[in-house]
Amino acid sequence: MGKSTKFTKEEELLLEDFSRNISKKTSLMFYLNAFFVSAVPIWLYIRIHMMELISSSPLFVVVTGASTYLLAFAYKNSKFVLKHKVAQKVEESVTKAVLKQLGDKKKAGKSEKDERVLWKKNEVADSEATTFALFYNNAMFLMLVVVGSCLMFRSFSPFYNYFFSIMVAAGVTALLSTSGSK
Amino acid sequence: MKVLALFALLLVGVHGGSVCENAAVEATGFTTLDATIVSKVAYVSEFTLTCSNSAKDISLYAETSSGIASVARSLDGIKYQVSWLSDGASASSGEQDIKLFDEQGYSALKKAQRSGESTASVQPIARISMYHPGTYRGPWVQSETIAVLASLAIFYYAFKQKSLITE
Repeated sequence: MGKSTKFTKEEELLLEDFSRNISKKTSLMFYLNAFFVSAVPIWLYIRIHMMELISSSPLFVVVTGASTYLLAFAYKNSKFVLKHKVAQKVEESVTKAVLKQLGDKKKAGKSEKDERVLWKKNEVADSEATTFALFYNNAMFLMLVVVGSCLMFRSFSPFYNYFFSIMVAAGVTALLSTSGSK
Repeated sequence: MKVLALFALLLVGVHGGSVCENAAVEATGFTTLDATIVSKVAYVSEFTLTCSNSAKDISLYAETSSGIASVARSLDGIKYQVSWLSDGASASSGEQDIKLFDEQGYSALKKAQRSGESTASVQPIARISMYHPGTYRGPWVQSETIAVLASLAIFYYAFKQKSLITE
């Protein structure tokens, strides 16, 4: 006698809520954003530190690639942590809004209402957490790049300045994103 | 002898001797405007001197803010140029007063300086007023300092927002 492994809609929503998995669309957005933010400091090093674009292109490609991966990793981790916190904050207001919307439909049962609230809460929390994860990690990464290139590694040659500034900034951002919520 | 005397008078007539009477000056000035990579400010004044007695090719000396300098003159004796340097840190903006002296005035000036008297009593043959707008020595705050502070401020705001969400 085999047990059915099919989940109900509510269980699926709960699984999605507590899962670290992200959709392909979100993943693509994270990687594109990480690539763009990792590539921005190249302009800084070409114009201010007078690095040559063509001769330094292998370094730029390798470091940008590594930084893109680390930043996307940081976005994913931050989003997971923030999503639950945001969901707790918006639960009350989302519940009110959904119940108000469903208020006219008196035929809607309690389970349907709970399902709608859960789905809406998940959607809002997902969106808010994604946006804030991008903002927070970008701010941290760019701050570390500016501090690294202008202060910590300013006496290094542009080659090593770029390498250490970007790798340290991306590494620290990824590392701090793995810390759990307090 | 008479021929020599006549020749000397002719020379004086043509060149007007070394004395310029009722001197009129038309001057153009150049100064260092950017001192970001230099430590001295250069002043250059080019002028033409017109004398009522048509005197030309006069040896001139200029009293500037950095002392007395000899004035260079062009081959045709019409254009003159004086230049001097001043320390970048102490060079002030505004009108620079240049007094022009001929040989006699220069001698009187040196005599007054040696005897410790005031040189204000020695009258120049002409004066030039040159305006120096000031020298740019770089921004008050470096751009990288502003970039660091701005990035720290933005990150601080993001951190505070995250703290509000995760509390």
